[in-house]
This record gives sequence, structure tokens and C-alpha cells, in this order.
Amino acid sequence: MAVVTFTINGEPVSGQQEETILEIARQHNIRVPTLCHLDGLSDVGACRLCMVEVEGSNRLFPACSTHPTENMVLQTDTDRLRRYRRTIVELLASEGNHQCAVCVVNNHCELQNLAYEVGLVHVRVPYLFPKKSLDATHRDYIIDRNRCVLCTRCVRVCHEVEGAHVWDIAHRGINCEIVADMNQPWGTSDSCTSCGKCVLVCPVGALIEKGATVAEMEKQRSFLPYIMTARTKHEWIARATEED
Amino acid sequence: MPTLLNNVETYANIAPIIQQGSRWFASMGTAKSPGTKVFALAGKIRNTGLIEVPMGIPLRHVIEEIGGGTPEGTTFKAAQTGGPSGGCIPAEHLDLPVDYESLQSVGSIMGSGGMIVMDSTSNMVDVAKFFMDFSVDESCGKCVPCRVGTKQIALLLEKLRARKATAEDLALLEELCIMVKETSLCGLGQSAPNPVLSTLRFFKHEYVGLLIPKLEFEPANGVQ
Repeated sequence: MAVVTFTINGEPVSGQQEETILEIARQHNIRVPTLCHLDGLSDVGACRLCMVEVEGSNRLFPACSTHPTENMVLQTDTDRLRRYRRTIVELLASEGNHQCAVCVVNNHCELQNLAYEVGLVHVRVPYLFPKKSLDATHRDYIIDRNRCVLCTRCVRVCHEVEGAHVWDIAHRGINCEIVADMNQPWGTSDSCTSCGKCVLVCPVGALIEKGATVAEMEKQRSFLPYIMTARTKHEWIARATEED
Repeated sequence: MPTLLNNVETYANIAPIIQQGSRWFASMGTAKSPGTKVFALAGKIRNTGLIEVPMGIPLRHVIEEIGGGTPEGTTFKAAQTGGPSGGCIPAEHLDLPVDYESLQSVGSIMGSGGMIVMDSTSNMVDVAKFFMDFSVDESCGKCVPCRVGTKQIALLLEKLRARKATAEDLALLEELCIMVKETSLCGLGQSAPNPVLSTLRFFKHEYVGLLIPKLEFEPANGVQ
């Protein structure tokens, strides 16, 4: 494993070549906003919020899926990046039906936190107000596709961690939707184990537990790295819930 | 199973190159863009169809000699090359040599080899909207800038065509185009705004002409 040294925002940092820029930045307490990334899952580079500038290149690079090279000079918080991040959150806000005041995850929502962080005070583009479906056929959970940001965390956690692969993306472009078992009602799914991982990793109020009302649903995401490493670290006692 | 996936044009080039040698093929075209290029000539032009020309041929030759010029009573306005990811070449660049480097220098690309001719009756905002609708349809939806950005760009273009857009909308359109171009995950999103950006570069007056006229107030009763 080769060690690479480079600079982020003028600060010298070092990390393993196999690590991503995002991982190394976080080890050095440098905040890079993300949405589709979640520790414990593979990266897809879909939300484009973690884009960083590399000196000597006009292109922007996603920190979650780019490895550093020796003497690389990175910027994570320039005017241009801040503007683009705000526009990305703005586009997401316009795409779905995100009414925080009546949402179960109000105050516990990653999209809402991002909107605060990037300073999204208003949305300049028209709201698309999609008429997507809500599926409450599952005994314990609900999926409201109108609130989905298509980060695909649910798809990945179900496939990579639970091994059930219930979720997939149907259609394409602006019509993309998360579907269960080749677009069948979630409640009729033979592959779903009702483990609830998808609900816990969902950054917004698209996947929720039944019975929660406005602002009641708080999600715990630290269980995931715990599940992935508990065996190697010999952490036999469940403590995922303590950490959050 | 060994599989070879290439453009038909590439396969078609191979047999004559084997028969007559690479030097023969490279003797045509320019130093940096050797050989020939097939274009699908279409749009407001008398002779449409597939043409094969040596690289570096002046655009004027393609339009006026091969294409036979634009229909009676109209004048040439622009040629769109490179398909939905490409850009427009306006009349002032009619003597531009058609090769990779020259097309790039005016903000267009060779791309798919499409060449759509626009005459004085064509509206460039309509052209940009047509290509943007294509990109909205073709976006896979994986990354946010392309999935939502192309849709919002198309809506802004529609707002312009409906004559409901303001100067702020036009500035937002340009801002969104640059953002989608620089942040999208793959080549589709990165090049989807090109038709808008290139028509904005050469035909901005057509966009400005569609804006809601600025309200001008006169002081009532001579109040200063």
C-alpha cells in the first residue's frame, strides 16, 4: 500500500493510494458535502455534490470515486464549487415533492441539511411536482417515490449488505423510479426480508417506517460500517444504536 | 465470443485502406485530420443524403456545391454538426475547413457526422429546444445535473418560446448549461448543453428577441 501526500485547500494531507479523496478529506476533518455516498456502501458518483477542483485541470472530479495522486493540489470549497453545489440541491428540490413541514423526517433529513449548508434560500427553476406513486403494501414500511432523490443507497444496501436485491431503478432520465421486484407492490415481494436497511439508509423521507408522523422519523446510519466490520473487529455485542 | 463494436463508417473505411494502403488514405484530408469523412447532410438544403468528402473541405463547398444551397428565396444561416451534442456554425464561418480542429475552434464537434443546415427561416431557439428534448429523453437519470438539469433547461427554452421569459431566465439558462456541462457524470450530460451554448454564442439576439419586453414607465402628470 503506497502512501500519497498531496494538499487539500492548501493543507498538506496524506493517505493510502487505495483510499478515495473523500475518505482522506474526512480523516483530516475537511468537510465535503455528499448525498449518494454512505460509509459501508460502494460509491456511484451520482449526486455530484462532492466534486472538487484539481489544479492543472479544467475538469471537476467526484471526491467519492477519485483516488489521489502524489503532489495533487485540490480545492474543495471554491466559489464555483459552492455555486454548483447549491444548483444541484436546487435541482433536487425542484424535482420531487419536498414539503418539509409535513414530512416525517423533518429536521432529520439529509436533503434539508444540505439545503441549509449550501444556503439554498429559494428555487429559481419551476417545481416539477411529479405524480409518482406511494406504495404502502409492506407490513412495516412505506415508499413515497415523490420524495425520492434517486441516490440509490437503498438499491446498494439491499444488494451489497442484505444480499436480497429487492430494489432496482425503473425507466430512465427524469422518469426514473425505485421499484421492488421488477415493479411489483413491495408487500408482495418474495425477495424482501423486511430487514429495514433501506429505510435506515434513505437520506430523505422516501423510505419510512409506518406509524411515524411529521418530524418523528429519525434514522440511524452508523449501523452500516458496524455490520461491515463487526466480525473483523470482534464487536459481538450490538452497539450500532448507541453510536448515532 | 470475440465481438467488435464500431461505427459502420469505420468498417467501411477498412476495406479501401487495406486495398490501397494507409498512405493513400492519409494523402487525403489535412495533416491532423487525415482521410475522408461521411456526413449525413440534412435540413434546409436542396440535396440531402450521405456524402463522403475529404477532411478539411471548406464548409461552403459542402453547402453550396454538394448540397446545392438552401431553398429558393432563403439564405444560409448555420450548419449544425455533431448531432445533439454538437454545435452550430454560423454563416460568417462558411469558409471554415471541415476537420476536427477547426470545428472545435468554433465550439462544435465532428461527433456523429450529422450536418443539419438551417436557413433564414429557421429559428435557433427552436433548434436548441429540439436537441435539448432529445437529451432529456436520452438521459439515463443516474446523475442529478443531467437528469434534472436537462429537463429544467428544456423548460426554460419552452418558456422563452412562449415569450414568457425574463432576462433573469436567460441568465439562468446559461448558468444551468455551464453547470450541467461541467458536473455531469458522463459524456451525454457533459455535451447535452452544447446546442444551447453554441446558439447562445452566435445567435444571442434571437434569444433576447423572445424575452418579455421591459416595462417602461413614464412619470404621470410630469412628476419627476
